[in-house]
Amino acid sequence: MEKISFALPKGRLFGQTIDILRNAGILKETVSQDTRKLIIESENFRFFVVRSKDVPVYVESGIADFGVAGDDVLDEGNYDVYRPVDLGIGYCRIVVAGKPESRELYENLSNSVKVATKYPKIAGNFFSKKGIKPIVYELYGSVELAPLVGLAPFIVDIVETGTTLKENGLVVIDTIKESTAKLIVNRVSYKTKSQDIFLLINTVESFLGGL
Amino acid sequence: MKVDTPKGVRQLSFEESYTLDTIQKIIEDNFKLWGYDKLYLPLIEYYHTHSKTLDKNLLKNSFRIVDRYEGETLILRPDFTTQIARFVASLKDKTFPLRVYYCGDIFRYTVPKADNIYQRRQVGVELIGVPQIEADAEVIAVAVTSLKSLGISDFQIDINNVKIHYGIKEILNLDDGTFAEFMGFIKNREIYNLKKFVSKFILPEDLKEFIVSLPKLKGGIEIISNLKDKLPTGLKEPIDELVKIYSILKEYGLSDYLVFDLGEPKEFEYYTGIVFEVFSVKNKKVIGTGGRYDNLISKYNGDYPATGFAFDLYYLMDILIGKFHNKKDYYIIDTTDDKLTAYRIASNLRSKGFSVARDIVKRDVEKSMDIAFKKGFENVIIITVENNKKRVYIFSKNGEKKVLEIKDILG
Repeated sequence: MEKISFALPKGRLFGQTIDILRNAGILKETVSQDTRKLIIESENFRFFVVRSKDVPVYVESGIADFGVAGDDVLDEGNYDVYRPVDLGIGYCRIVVAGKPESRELYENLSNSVKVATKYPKIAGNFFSKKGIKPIVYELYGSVELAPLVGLAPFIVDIVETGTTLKENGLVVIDTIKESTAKLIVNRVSYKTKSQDIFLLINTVESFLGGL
Repeated sequence: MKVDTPKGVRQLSFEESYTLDTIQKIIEDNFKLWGYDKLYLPLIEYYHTHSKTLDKNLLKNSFRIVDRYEGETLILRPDFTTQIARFVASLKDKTFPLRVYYCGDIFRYTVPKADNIYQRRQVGVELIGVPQIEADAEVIAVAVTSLKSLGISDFQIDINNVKIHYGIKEILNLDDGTFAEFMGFIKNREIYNLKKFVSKFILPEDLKEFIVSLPKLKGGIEIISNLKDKLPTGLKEPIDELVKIYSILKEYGLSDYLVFDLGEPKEFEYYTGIVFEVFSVKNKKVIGTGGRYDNLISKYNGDYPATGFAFDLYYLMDILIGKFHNKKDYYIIDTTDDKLTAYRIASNLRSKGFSVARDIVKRDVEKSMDIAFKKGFENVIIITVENNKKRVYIFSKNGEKKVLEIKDILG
C-alpha cells in the first residue's frame, strides 16, 4: 500500500496532532519531533516536519496528502486545499491590538488606517470590508514594537494568552476571528485515494465527536 | 545581457515544444474522428461584449488593454467557451447540433507561482444545440478517447451535477449571499461548517444528512443509486441525470473512468448541469474540465443548450515529456567545393517525405556528425571526393555505414 504523507508544523501542533492520531487508534507507534529529521517514517505514514506557513504549500502541490494548518495560515494564503475536519487544537484569536489610548481612535476610524502585521491579507480584507482603507506594513516578527515606536497605531496578530501584548503595554481592541487548526487534504488525493483518506477523516471525526 | 521573461509566462524548450505540438495533433485528430470542426478565434475581444457573461473571477483577472482608435477596453481571451458562445450567437444560419473544436492560448492574471501562470494553452470541444444527456456523455467520451489516443490510462473523471446545489438553494430558500457562503463550505469540504449550517434549518433528517455528507458522497454508481428515495423532488432529477449519463457511458464501455463526486462545485458560474474534471492520478493534476452551460448563449442572443470541455496542454505536456521523440531523417555534410550535389540530394530526399538539414557551418566533419546525432538526426550523409569522383557515405545513428555513388542516391 502506498504510504500516506502528512505535513505537520513544528512545535506544539505537531505533538497535539500525533496525540489525536494515536488516541483515535490510527497510529500505534509514538512519533516525536525531538530530532533534526525532516522526514519521519512510521507505520503507513510519512511525516514531513515543516514550518506552519509551509504546510498548505506541501498539501496543495500534492507532495503531502494531509496537513494541519490554522485559519490564520489558511486565510492568509490562497490555497486550493480541502479542509474537512476542525481539529479543535491550536486555538488562538486573530485580533487588532494597540495601546489602550488608541481605542478611541479605532472607534472613530473613517478614512484610512495604518496597520503593522505578519498577516497583510487578513488585515487588509478586514479593514477593506469596513470601508476603511488599510495602509499595511508587512513585518516578519516582533509586531508589538510597531505601535510603541509609532510605525502604526494598530497591529493585526494572533493571540493565545495575551502575555506578549501585556508585557508591551498593548491591549486587544477588536477580534477578527477565532482560529483553530484544521485537517487539510490535497484535492487530488481526496479524489483518487478516497478509501484511505476517508477512513482517516471518519476515524478522526468520530474520535473528536466522542470527546 | 537581458534574456529574462515575465514571471507569469513559460518559455518552452525544443523538447517541450515538440511534445506539446504532438499532443495537440493527436487530440485534434481524435476530435476530427468525432466529427468536430476546427474554429480559429481572435485573441482580442471587447471587454463590454463579455462583461455580463464571463465568470466574475475570469473577468476580474482578465488582461485588459485600451484600444487606441476606439477608446474601448479590450481583453486578451481568458476563456474559449464564452468566445464560442459569442460566435454562435452571431451566426445567421444556425443549424444544430454544432460540433466545434479549438486550440489556443488563454490569459488570466494570477499571483505567478508554481503552476499559476498568466498564459496557458487549451484544446477543447463544444457541442451546441443538444439538451439531452447524450450530448454530455458524448463530450466525456471524446475526452476519454483523446486521453487513450495519447496513451494515458492513469486518469479519473469526477462527475457531478450542479443542479443539486441549485436544488438545495431553492429548498432552503437561500439568498445569494448565504448561498455563496454555503458553496464556500462545499468547495473547501468544511464538513464541520456544513453541520453548523444545516442545524439552523428545520429540515427532514434525511435531507440534513444528505447535505452534510455531500463532501463525502464520492465513488461509484452505488453511492447515488440509493439516494433517490430519500431526497425531495427537486433533487431527484439531477440524480436521475447522473444515473443516465453513467448508463450511456457504460454502454460505450467507458464507465470505468467515472467517479461521482457530489461535493464538487462548478468551476465557472456559467455551468448549469453536469460538470466534470479529469485528473491525472499519478501527477495529481487537473488536466481537463468541462460541463453544460445552457444559459450562456442566451445572454448574447438566442437560446441554445450547450456542453463542452477543454484540456490543459501544459499539464499534458508535463505528464508526457520524454514520450515523443523528434526524429529527423538526414543531415548532409558536403566537404566538396561545389554545393550543388548536396542541394540535389536534399531535394530528392525531401520529395520522398524525409526531413533533411544541411551543415552549412565550416568545421571538422567529426564534430558536425556528433552535433547531428545529438540534435536527433537518424542518419548523416557525407559527400567527399575520392579519386576525382564524388562519393557519398551514409552513417546511421547505430553505427552502420554505407558507401554509395551519387547516381545511386539520386536514383
